[in-house]
Amino acid sequence: MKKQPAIIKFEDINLRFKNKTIFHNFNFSILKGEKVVIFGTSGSGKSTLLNLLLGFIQPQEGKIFFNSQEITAQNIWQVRRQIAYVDQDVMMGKGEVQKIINEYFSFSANAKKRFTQIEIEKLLHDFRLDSSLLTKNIDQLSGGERQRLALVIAILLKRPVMVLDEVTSALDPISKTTVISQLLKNKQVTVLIITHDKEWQHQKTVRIFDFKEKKWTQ
Amino acid sequence: MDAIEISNTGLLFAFLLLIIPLLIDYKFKLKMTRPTLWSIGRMTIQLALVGIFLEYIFNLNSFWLNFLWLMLMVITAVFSAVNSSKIKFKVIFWPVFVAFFFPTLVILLYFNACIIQLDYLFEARYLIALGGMLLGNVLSVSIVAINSFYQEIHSQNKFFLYRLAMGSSQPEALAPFLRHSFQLALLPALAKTATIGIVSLPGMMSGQIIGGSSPTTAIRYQIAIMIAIYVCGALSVLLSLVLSNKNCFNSYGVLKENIFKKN
Repeated sequence: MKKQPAIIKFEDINLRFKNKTIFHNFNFSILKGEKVVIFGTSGSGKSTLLNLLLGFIQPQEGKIFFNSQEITAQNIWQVRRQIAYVDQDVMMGKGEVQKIINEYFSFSANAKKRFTQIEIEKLLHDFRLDSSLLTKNIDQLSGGERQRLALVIAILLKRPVMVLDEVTSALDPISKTTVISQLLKNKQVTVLIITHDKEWQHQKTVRIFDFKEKKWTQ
Repeated sequence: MDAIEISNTGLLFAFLLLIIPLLIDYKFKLKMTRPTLWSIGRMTIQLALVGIFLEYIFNLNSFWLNFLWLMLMVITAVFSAVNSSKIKFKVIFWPVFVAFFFPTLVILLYFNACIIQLDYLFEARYLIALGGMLLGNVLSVSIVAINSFYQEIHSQNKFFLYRLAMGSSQPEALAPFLRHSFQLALLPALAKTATIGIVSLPGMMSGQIIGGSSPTTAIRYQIAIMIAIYVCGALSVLLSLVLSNKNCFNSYGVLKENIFKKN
């Protein structure tokens, strides 16, 4: 069987902050379409992995590959456009929700991504959000609502990879189950989830990486 | 009609007025005697020296001397701005220098050539007096803009990085921060501009009227200078922010951590 190339690959990464070693000869890779859960306690540096992938920080040693291409300052802008990112306490901006969404879709990278009103309303419904929130000021949304809204935007962007940092932590149990099944639904999309939420471990379709031990457990 | 000279006795009477704040200070123990005397003293000495020097410059009215004096004004303003900014000296010195020098020079020359229509564009009286007014404003608006721009990106780093992750280009990611710094820097001055004539008579206009110009002349100058000040400030804010970008972000588009001064 021909070996499938990894869509995301970390190769011999070394990273230290002051005296704390976050990564020591760290290797990690994900295949296209895989759903990967990175599990570990908070404060262990899990988010650093996503910050490296998105070019927000650079490793002291080692390489990161996206679609078999090494990530550089030149191609990072293209790489970011392939990745939908949602963060724990996402900050999307100020003002009316609809206007905020419109602004993100006005970026030249997203200008060709169209979505219909029916599509967004269905997604909002799938994520247990009322479509009336589109006309609300984003400050009126709760933390959980903002997080689910960010997930809806991420899905609307129709990017091949989703990276999600603690996106279910602020959700009630019912929303949590709904969100997890929504995110794992699409077979084409590669999903990388960082969490300490146990709910994710019960999913059969996911691979689980123990961040503390730096090894695969499922 | 020329302005009446202020005699030495007259000037002494001006200083005599200071007894009032000093008495208030003494009575209420405000601890402001030293700063008051220091500021007034410093201002007096500076102005006395500048007065002597300007007499000299105005009489000679040579291109190089006028230009050099303008440069000195720009450099003083740049140092003052860079020192009171929250960003390290070596990161923003050159961007701020260019952002102060070019808009001021271009607007001054435009003012002298097209608005007053001087024959000699480097006429000391206009170049130096108008230059001072333009620079004073450039200095205050640029500090506000630079500080707020980088501090907001720093304090709202999550929002900024989210924009990058959403696939923005660098200018797209910076857009809301740019907009807000422009507003913070320029809106207060604009609001003040809107009340001029009713709430306040600006210094230049009062000066011209005392100096013997008719109010209509003074008003025409005032209108033109207000517009020039606003435009020069806007240009300088834009250049300060755009030119300092390169030093403040890494090649991945992320704000560098080490650009801020340590307190």
